[in-house]
Amino acid sequence: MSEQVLPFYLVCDESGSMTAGIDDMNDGLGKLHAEIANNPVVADKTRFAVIGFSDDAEVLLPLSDLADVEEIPGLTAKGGTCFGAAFKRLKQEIQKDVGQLKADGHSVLRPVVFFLSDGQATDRGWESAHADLVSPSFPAYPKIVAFGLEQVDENTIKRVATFKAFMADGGVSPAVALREFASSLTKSIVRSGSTLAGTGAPTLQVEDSVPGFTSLPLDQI
Amino acid sequence: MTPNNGAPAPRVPVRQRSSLAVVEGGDSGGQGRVRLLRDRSDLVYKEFHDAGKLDRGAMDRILRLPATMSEADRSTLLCNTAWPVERVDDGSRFVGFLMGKIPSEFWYEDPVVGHRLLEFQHLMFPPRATRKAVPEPSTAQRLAILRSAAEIFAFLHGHSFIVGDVSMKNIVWSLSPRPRAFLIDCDGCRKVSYLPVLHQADTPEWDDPLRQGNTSTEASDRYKLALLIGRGLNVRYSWRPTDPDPFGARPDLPEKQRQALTRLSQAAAGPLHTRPSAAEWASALGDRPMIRLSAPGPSTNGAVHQPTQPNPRNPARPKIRLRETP
Repeated sequence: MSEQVLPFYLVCDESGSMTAGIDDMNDGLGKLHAEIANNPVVADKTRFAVIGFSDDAEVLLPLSDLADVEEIPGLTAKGGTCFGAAFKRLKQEIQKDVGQLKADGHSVLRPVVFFLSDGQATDRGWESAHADLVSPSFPAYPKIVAFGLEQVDENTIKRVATFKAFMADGGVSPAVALREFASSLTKSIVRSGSTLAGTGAPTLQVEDSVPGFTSLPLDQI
Repeated sequence: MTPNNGAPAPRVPVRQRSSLAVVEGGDSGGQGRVRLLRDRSDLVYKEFHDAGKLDRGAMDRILRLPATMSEADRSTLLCNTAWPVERVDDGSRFVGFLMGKIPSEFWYEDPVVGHRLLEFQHLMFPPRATRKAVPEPSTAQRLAILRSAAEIFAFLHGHSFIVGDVSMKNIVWSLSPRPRAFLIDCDGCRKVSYLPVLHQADTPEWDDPLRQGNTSTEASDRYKLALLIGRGLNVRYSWRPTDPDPFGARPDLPEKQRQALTRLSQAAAGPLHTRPSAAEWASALGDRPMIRLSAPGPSTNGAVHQPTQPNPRNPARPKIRLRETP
């Protein structure tokens, strides 16, 4: 059992507008799983969860060691784009998972969230759910890397992100952009799980540029 | 060994970057990118990310090694390591090198991600259903692979080379046609008393707690070899030689062999001068009965190199009998 683990959460928009690219996203998840399962050190030092959201949020894969996982429920496009449901569910999951990992004897590094959406939020008040999630008063508040596609407003993606933000530049199809997103997530997990601090702790690595996306500068406070 | 008879040093083979038929893409690592060549199926090209930091003399010492060896040793070197064979320059600037391609026996085929190296990390974690494509060695096969790794270290130490950056990814293994190890990333090796091609920090969790300064030594190689063996044999990545009962997890080993490996582990956990040589590890991992002769010999931790195994170019001197015994 590893001492220090880095949890990754994929929070993915499953709204109806994602229909065109959802198969590419599911294909990307299969590759991500195989890549990490074939890299035992990375699998040992990272954990991975998938939350899909549309009208509500659903945990498709609870936080897991991917070397133990043989199936991941696929993402399916349906319904609206409720950011608030996603952030509330994510906070609950992080709280539960961090507690469990600690009870199992691990020390837990700050969780990392890869958030992806292709449309504007259809719910009101999502900002307060987001604020609850990223507030320093929540001890396990995550670092969020946010990706925007198609209709989503650039400022919304910048607002969701706390670590890095990327916006599809329209130079590639949504399907290709989703494949690049999945590839970027895979690389981030593999590099973070392999780039260890002197103590052996995995260290978050996220690419500065992702093909098909423009990196958005985050506002400084 | 370097010729000491006044003969000129062997010529270093050099190729111009512009003459290479490089296939785009390739795997990018921390220090460089390894690329295939369209016209050479037996070699690959590693291009460094930052040519400005390279020590060309260090690469030339690596490249000269095969030419200074006997035919048998050269064959051993090239069969057991991806040793650099030609320097690559861009004009007058050293930018990379050619090395032998890792033989197909050290790869496996995953149905989703394709060709993957059988890295030593796969020996250090329990098998999982999701890694079905990775073969699971028996205890005897593990012993043979680890012994082969120790023999590679002993061979290089015997030729005054330090392995340097030892980790779960810099050495690969195979079961077929026979269980054995193969050293990759050999540009991390350095000749004793000289700096490496590129400064390298220890891979985290492969650190030598007694390492002094920035440069790996034979003593640090000896410690990391102990990690390689302990982690590979116990199938436990967090293993350290300081663990109580370091081979207690392998009750299936013959008792005498388990005791011998435990003794070596305890010595590896001690001061620098007690660290067992690679040759001692190789012997303990073998299937011959062990004869305990003395405490492990001292290891070197500085510029002065003491060979750890008989060197064919410098055989043991005959004893001179000084007085008759009654």
